[in-house]
Amino acid sequence: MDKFIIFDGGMGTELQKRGMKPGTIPETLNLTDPATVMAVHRDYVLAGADIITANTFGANRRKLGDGVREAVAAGIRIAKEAGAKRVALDIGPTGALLKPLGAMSFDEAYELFREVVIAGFEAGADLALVETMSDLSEAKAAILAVKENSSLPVYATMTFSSDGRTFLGTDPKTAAIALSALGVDAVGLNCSLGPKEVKPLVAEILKWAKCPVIVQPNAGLPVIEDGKTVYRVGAEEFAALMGELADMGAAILGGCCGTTPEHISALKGVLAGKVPKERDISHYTAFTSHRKSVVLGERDIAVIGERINPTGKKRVKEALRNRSYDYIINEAIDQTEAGADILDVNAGLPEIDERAVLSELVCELQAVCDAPLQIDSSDPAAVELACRVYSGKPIINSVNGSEESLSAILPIAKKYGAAVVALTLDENGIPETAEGRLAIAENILSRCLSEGIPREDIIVDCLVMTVSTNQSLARETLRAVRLVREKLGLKTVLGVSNVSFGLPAREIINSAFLAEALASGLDLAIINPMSERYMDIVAAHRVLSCEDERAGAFIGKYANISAPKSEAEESAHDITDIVLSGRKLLIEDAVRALLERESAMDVINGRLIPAINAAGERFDRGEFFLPQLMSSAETVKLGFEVIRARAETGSVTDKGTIILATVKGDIHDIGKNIVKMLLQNYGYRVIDLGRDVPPETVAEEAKKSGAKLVGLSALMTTTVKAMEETVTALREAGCACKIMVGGAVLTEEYAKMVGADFYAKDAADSARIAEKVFGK
Amino acid sequence: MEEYKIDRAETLRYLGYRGQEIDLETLDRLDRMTALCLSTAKPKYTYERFGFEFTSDGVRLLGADVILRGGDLRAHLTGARELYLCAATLGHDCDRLSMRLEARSIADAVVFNAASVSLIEDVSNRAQAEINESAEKRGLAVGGRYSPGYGDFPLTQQRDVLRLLRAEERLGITLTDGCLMLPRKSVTGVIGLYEDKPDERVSCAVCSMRDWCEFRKGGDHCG
Repeated sequence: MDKFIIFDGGMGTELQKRGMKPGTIPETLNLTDPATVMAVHRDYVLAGADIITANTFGANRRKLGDGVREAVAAGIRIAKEAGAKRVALDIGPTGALLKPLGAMSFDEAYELFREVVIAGFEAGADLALVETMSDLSEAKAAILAVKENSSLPVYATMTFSSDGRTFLGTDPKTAAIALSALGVDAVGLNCSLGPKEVKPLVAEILKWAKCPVIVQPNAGLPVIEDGKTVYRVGAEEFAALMGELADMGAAILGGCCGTTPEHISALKGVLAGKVPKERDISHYTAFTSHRKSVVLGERDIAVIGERINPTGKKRVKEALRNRSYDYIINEAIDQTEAGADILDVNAGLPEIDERAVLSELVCELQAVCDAPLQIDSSDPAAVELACRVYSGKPIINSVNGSEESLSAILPIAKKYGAAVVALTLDENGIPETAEGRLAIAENILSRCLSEGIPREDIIVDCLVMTVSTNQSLARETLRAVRLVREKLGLKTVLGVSNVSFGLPAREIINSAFLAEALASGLDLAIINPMSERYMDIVAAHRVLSCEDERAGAFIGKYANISAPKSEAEESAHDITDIVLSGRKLLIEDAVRALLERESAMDVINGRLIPAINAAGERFDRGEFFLPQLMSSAETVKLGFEVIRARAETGSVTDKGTIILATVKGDIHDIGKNIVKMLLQNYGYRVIDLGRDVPPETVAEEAKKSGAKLVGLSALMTTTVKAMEETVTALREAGCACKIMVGGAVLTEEYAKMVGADFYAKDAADSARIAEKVFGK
Repeated sequence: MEEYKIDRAETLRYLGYRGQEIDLETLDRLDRMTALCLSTAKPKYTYERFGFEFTSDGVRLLGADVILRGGDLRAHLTGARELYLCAATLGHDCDRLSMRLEARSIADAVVFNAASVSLIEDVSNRAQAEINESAEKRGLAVGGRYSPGYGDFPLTQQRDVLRLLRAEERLGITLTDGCLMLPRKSVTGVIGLYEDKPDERVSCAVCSMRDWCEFRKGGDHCG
């Protein structure tokens, strides 16, 4: 940029100065009192602002109801009439939190923004400013709404607290990488902090942004004085500090809360005669979630966990079929705790709706897991949907050299700013020689460049073949890795475990191959991080490659390793003792030992269920309180896992199907989850519909599954009504199931009132009700 | 500033503890989850003072375009000279961690949840203490916190309270369509400033814990 762009300052505070009462929705003034809005704009125009931000920050349907179009159109018109050189359509957050932490879907947020964008574009806005975002997903929904429904340039800012993260936990580096990848025209920060506090955050954004950087801080930190919030940094001080940010490289500057036309005028004065600093836009290879970024170059290698894939995994298949992801979520957490930097996510099962499941799973995983994800699917539509809802910059796995694949995948990678794994195969199959694979990589590279995908976002997979059938090809693959690095300067990835397919003791071969591949310059290794052997090699490699400086991480991990204190060494106990004392380390061996002598059924009915009953009785007698009951239940659950892992079919543990749901409007579901675990302890198959579940969904699932019992939970007084509606929906749908209800605010009386068959006063009670319904 | 605290006895109370013998594992769990809660939470609060007048259906905030409705709130503010609106939250990271714990260990999640409830109480008490300090200087006494959803004070007015406090921008508190707050561990309230300390017995109807309380669930009460 050859000139600074100066934005205006605060709107709300200026409107209040001119008589707007606190609590008024500012955008309504566009229609009721346009003169006041125009007066504020005019003062900013006179102060020297190049861009005037229209009064449309909260003009979305959720905050304003009907009349979005009118309010937005009026907002743009007023700004133009005030003499603005350029008018920005202002787009703030919807006010609702997106899934998975909140209840709003990505598509709902997108629709809200779309309406605003169309209205603003029609009214003649010159650009869109997506601002004050805390949630990267929401920012993405707004940016896509602008790009897909207008030709406006889009600037995006997020707002960071004093801990350097947004309320949802995004850091400036991650924001800059992910938003740049989406192709915004400027990225930066606004609100929350003053020009002094934002300095280190701006430095981070400047380092990573691939576009101009915009900064709009408040007039200092808010201070409560005499019961009112005020901002104390004056115009001159503000402008001087902003000048420092401009010297660092920020090119688009303005103010947020508490800044006034005087602030902007002073800013204009400070910037007079200066030009924006030339920035070196760095070319880095990076992937992000919404809370974490993984940058190659800062580190030598990264590990991609391979375990979220149904191939050969019964439990993953089951989870995908039932769309009940607890098992997979645990796999994800296990892998990251074991050291995976990135997780591959594959939901490819022929009998499921992969498009829906993959995006749902990506969303669930992002709630609990910070690692960036690699979206792995052969269906381009599934890839696109998942990339759309993904919060961050993902990797797409994969594209190959065939025309069909290139033309389907590259536009998706470009649009969503994803990195892409490039498989070195094409219509003619996999070339035997390293040179052949290099040629395909070269072809993919040139296609990517012409599509506008930067070379640093291409990760070449030189393809590992099993040595049991193609022994000489392992070397060829490693040679291809070196060639791609040296000749094309591209990053590489390998699915290491393929090498040993068909051989015994596969870990031995895999780990040797992993070490050789790393030595050949491999950047990303797709492996099972739960294997200590592989992670040992990774840790050692990081020392040898100097990634692990002074071997600090290695020493931390391996010094003073001693055998873990083992409860298993204690003498074997009776199952009930183990369960009552919640000693999880003992239960698995104890159940295994029992399975040598007894049938699975006998272990369940004769051992585990009596044990959980004993815990339940203690709870009923008041000898146990909730954490103790839950600890026992978790112990039993582990016992069940041992049996399920061995059972040929699921039938052994299936005593009947129960549906559980937290009703519509209610977002608190810990109570329901407690009940779920306890019922699973008794061998029931629990279909968990989650929280905020509409009545019709419960009725539909009840009919489909033929469940004999439905459990509904509501925690808030306000959602008891939704419980009644759900009971009615179940009855009207003609479900023959029994219904039990529970939750903190429910009473026996309430339960009768809403028409339930049973009132479960606590989790232990729900197990007794299930017994009544299903028989022992 | 003094560090936030999680009261052990209170945490136990939310868990329905009635003097049972606590085994070592459970004690360890309490310690771990308390520490985790303190290190995860990002406590924040804000408040603003308003003059008010009584109307037939509630309380009109002077200088703002808002009436807080309900006879119960009016009764609560009888004798008050002015009022404060306040909001406090532990932030989204606690919700996120709670989801993660629910997938990993329900026993941990249950204890973490109880620790979070006692922490949010401490945070909002901190805000109330600040309000109290400035009130005392002016010879006024602070009453209890009264929140949207209590009595006939409509829950939907959570929207007004949060907007007046600009709680979305300042604290990151959002509302669901049903007017529940996210982060889940968030509280708001109206606090009266009185010439004489009002005689208040905390009843379940005005207790911020009523939706979580294990005593209440058992048909019991604490006070």
